[in-house]
Amino acid sequence: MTALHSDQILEELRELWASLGKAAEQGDSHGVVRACALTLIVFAEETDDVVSIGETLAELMHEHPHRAIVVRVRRDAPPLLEHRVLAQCWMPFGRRQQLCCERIEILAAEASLPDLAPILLALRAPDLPVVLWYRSERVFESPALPATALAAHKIVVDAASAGDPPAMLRRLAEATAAGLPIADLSWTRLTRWREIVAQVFENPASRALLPRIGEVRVFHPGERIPPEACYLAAWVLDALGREIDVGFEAAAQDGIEFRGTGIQPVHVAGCPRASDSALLREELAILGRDPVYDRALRLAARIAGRERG
Amino acid sequence: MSQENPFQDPLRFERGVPPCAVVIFGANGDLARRKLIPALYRLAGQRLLPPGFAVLGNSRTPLSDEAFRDKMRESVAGFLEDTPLEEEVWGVLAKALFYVPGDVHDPELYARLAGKLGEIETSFQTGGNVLFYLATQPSQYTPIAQGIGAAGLARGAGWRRLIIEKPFGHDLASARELNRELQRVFDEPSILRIDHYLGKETVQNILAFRFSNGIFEPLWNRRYVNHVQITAAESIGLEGRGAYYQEAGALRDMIQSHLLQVMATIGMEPPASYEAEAVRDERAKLLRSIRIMKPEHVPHDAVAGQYGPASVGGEEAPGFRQEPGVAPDSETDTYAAATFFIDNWRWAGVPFYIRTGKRLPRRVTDAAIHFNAAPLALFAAHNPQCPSQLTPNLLIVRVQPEQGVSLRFLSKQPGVGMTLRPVSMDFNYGESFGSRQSWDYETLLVDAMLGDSTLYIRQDAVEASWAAVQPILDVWSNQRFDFPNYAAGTWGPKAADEMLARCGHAWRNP
Repeated sequence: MTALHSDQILEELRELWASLGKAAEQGDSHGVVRACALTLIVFAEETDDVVSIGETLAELMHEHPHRAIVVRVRRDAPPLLEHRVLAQCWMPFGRRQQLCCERIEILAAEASLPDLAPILLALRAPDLPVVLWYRSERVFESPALPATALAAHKIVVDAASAGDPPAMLRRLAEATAAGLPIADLSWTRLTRWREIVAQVFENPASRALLPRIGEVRVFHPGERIPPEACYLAAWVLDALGREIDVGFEAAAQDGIEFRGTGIQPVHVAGCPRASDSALLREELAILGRDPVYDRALRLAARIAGRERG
Repeated sequence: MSQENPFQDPLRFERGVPPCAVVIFGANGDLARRKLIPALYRLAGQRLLPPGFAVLGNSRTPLSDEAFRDKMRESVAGFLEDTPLEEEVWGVLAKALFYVPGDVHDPELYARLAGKLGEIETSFQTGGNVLFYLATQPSQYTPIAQGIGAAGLARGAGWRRLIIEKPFGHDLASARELNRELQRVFDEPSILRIDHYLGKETVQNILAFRFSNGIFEPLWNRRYVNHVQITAAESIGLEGRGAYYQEAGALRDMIQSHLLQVMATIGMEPPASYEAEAVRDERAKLLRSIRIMKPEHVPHDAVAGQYGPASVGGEEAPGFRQEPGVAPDSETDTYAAATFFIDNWRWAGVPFYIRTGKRLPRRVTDAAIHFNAAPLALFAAHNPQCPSQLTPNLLIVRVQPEQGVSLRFLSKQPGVGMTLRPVSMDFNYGESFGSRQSWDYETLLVDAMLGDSTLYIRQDAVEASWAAVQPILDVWSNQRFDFPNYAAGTWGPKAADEMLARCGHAWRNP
């Protein structure tokens, strides 16, 4: 196993910046600026699409410049910790300086995860928020590297990619109840759709119908009820502040319908899916707890459990 | 059932702009083409405009809706600056653009506007909400307001608001007169006086910087602040604004409006809340606390300048009097500097130096807070060339071209001995927040549609800022100047340096 020393990695970063500065002096650019507003630690499987992760990070850095630490985990392998450092740069319009974000890539065997926590703590950009993005459900649930050990300001997961989404929602609800600042991209995917629902009820005439709504029906593609559908129903229940009938129906397209006695059903179709970078951009703008999400998660976990029977 | 929408999520949702129609008078003019329509396009691109939204343009040029859309498309493509035009976004906005030609002095125009607004209200479900934007010559403000009032357009099913651009009058008396005319038609909360400086991120950030950080506010007073310098420098000349500028001058064009607002934001007391009236109360209170100069103090505390011809970077730059549309004996100030004092407990005795000018060496707007030197020059013997009295701590709020905050302090130079060197700690918007920055007009248009007047100027603040500069205007209007008194490409007349030197200060070189 190759040992990993945080001091060595940080020294390599310093050398990287020095060489970038030198290259810029010799080229057309008027220097490089190291931009960093947070540390973003990404946990992924070794088999995960590393190019896609890189593209997502590159898209994020325009609004959320960061130090990225990408940890890729190799299954069933002897202890292993390897690393490399690199920088991604861009030249903002009208500027002569390049803005650059640094990235540390670590390849770790699953067996080496317990050794990794102190290294990650040392590699965080000092005094700036830390966000964990779990693309691997297995690492999220691994006791070898508990999220609590990394003192994160936000822990991002995606229940939709979990093997058992209802169980994942339950675990997220427990983690939130225990005080962890959880964010779920399945919830973030709903923002635009929720916004349209809210716009429908901006109209006072529509709002007057709210007390008469007795049922909400969520339409979803596929047989399995996705976590997004559970979240949406949960959010409606929480907003209305009372129990109403909740139903799910497989359909060609996402949608939500409000029904009640003596009123025309109000149907709001779902929205196109946003990219991971767009979802993360939204989450990184809200560091800490989101009370609306926390309440919706609690109810969504209950609904998902009930629907599964 | 509560009147609140239970589905709103302010943490995540963009502020919901209500359905409305925006009527732009002067829609074929420079402001509309360079700023307003491009800002609306960017808002459309960010999905910040509601589905029930339309723009009704007016100017004297006869144009069809289609021709108006084509012209606006050309403008948006030309003035977007940082991104190419996206046809899909433009397509959405273009469908909401309409045009009614006509002379603003013609009562028939307002009848036609009323008819078109009625159609828009029905087809776009705007709820009768209308924002009138006067992007015209200031001389047309009163006739337009009167036309709107006479046609009954100032009242309707929804809200009606009026935006006007500076200058709000050309002196205190005319500002009051203009306001009287506007208030015959619109009540004060419905009149939004735009100062685009207040829409700039950094100017708004002054409030965040001061009132959300515990470490600065205790130092923000006469005990620790030695003086404040506010600079708004332009490297360019008139750029076709000769006729307007000759009437206005630098003092009216920049100091009375933008720079006194910046000064008010730097100097104001903490508001009780971040509500429009609470913020505007404090800003206005600060402006009312500016000591009014006595006429005999004007030559001492204010400097007028006008640039002459010079060779700048190998090019011949004309003097002001040689610019197109400018009289050869013009007495207009293209440079103005003034020393203001704020007579309140926080700032008594602290000079606020403000300067602005055209054809200065570079384009820069910033405000620098100069702190007092350390009480004891402990390292003076080691630093005869750099005494701390000459390099005090400086906090610089950079407004343009780059937006950010810098703090200058002294640091030990590496090596043997205790040689000190000034160093700078910089926060730059671009570096910390990447590329996401709203244009000032985007922010202000959204605020106007939402009815949030925090960043708009209230009439009492307009009057207070005119009152502050009126004595200077009065003295200058009766004075013959020995213009030109500075060469293009320099930092202004020598008298401005002398104004500060008398107090033992010197202008920064921003």
